[in-house]
Amino acid sequence: MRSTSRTDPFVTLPAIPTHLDDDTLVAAAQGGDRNALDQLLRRHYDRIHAVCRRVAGTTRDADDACQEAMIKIVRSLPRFDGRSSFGTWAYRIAMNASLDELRKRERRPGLTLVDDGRAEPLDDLAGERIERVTDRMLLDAALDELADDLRAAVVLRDVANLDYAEIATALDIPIGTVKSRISRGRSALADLLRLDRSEPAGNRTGTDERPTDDT
Amino acid sequence: MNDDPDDQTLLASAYLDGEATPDERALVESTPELLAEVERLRSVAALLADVEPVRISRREEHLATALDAWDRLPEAERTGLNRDRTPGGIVRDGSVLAATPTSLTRRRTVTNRRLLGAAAALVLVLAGGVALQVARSGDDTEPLADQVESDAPAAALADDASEAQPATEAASEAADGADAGGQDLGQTEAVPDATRLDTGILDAAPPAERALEQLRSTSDLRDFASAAVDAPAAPRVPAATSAPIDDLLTDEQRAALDAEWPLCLGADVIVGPALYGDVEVLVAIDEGRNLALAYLPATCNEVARVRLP
Repeated sequence: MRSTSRTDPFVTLPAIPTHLDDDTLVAAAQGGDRNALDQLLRRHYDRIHAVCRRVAGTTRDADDACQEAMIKIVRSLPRFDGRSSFGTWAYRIAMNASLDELRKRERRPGLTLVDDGRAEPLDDLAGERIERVTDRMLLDAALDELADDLRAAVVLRDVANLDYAEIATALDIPIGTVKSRISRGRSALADLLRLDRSEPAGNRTGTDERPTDDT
Repeated sequence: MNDDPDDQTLLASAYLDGEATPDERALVESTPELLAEVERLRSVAALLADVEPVRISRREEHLATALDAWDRLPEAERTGLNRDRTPGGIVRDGSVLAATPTSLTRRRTVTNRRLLGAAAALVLVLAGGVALQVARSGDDTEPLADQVESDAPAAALADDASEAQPATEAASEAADGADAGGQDLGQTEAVPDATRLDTGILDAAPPAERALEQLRSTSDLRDFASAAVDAPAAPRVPAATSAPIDDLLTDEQRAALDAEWPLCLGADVIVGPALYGDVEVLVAIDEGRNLALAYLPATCNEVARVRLP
């Protein structure tokens, strides 16, 4: 775009309205509209990154997976045929990129934390942060224990917020299998996190409703 | 109720996701053990959904890299793979030019209009004795071209000299336009000669239509493009020449035509040249985005765009 054109009083380069749905933005992007593509990517970025974060595990690996996924989405967009929603398609790409990143990590030597008992006493705020970080690490560790197929189903449901039919499309499996994998995955995570039925850890998060639940 | 823990979890999980049947929902809501299992799974779901936010700098970096990857895609790959439509216009799929009688008529129409507009501009610029001299002599007009160049007003977008279209270029385009009108597309001349200007095409058009369409706003742009879209299908050419006119052109002629009116900015259909403000632009339509575009044909730089109704 030529900068001088913006000085022309007749020039209008309207911003894409934020209410445009994904299908419209996809069509515009496939027609070469860079602004539409930008808006589409921004709209889904946080969730794409969240999927990567939950599957790839560490922040660094999630960042790498997310970057890879974004590039794959852009490069594949001209061939996206709209048979599934853009979100379903994009999260599947994010999922695959994250699993690839995970496999790369498994081939790398890992680091181990060693508790030497010489930790400094912490103030309340620092203690709270540590607790949050610990919670995240526990969740990451628990997810790491989960089989890939269970993790994919659970993350697409609870992080990407896809319904069973969309997950079935994304993973190319029957809906009954989706239902079973989500159930088994959640139950396994609950066991790994030591959430038992007598003391539901809903108290632990303080949330009564899932933030992503809109079904 | 089935006492198998796996079945209970399956039921509780489906209930949590709103995927349980009415009977299953009733069962869960009347069974404390199942409600406890629902809460246990709800806790897991809440933990999973509570993802730490991404740093803004990281997000912007990822987005910029993705858009950069988009920019690096070949134009044809970025925009052409899903194109298979040829409704009443010149549609380019990749590098292939498809043409229909309607589109060709439209192209011929705008060719004539372009020729006429360029001729009119030339007359304005050359007003006075010089023009008269040329009209009388019909000689080589190279000195005149020099005069035109020196007298040509600065284009509206003067801060980018490469995008300005001096009058000599307009004169050259007039010659090209005359070629596109049915004669010598492969040739280019600085100024059309009198015999070529005196063709039936020129004579057939009333003087009032001889200027380029003046567009003063995006509304004008929309109307101009819409009129082309809504124009009735042109009658087919006589049987003796029933093939699309583009098919009658040589490769060289077709290339010259494409060079004169390039499809830019994702446009599919050429509407024709016009004056936007005081800048000569090419108006085209991007059917995929339903946009009318005005751009400089020499550089493909966008001047204006507007969504079509």
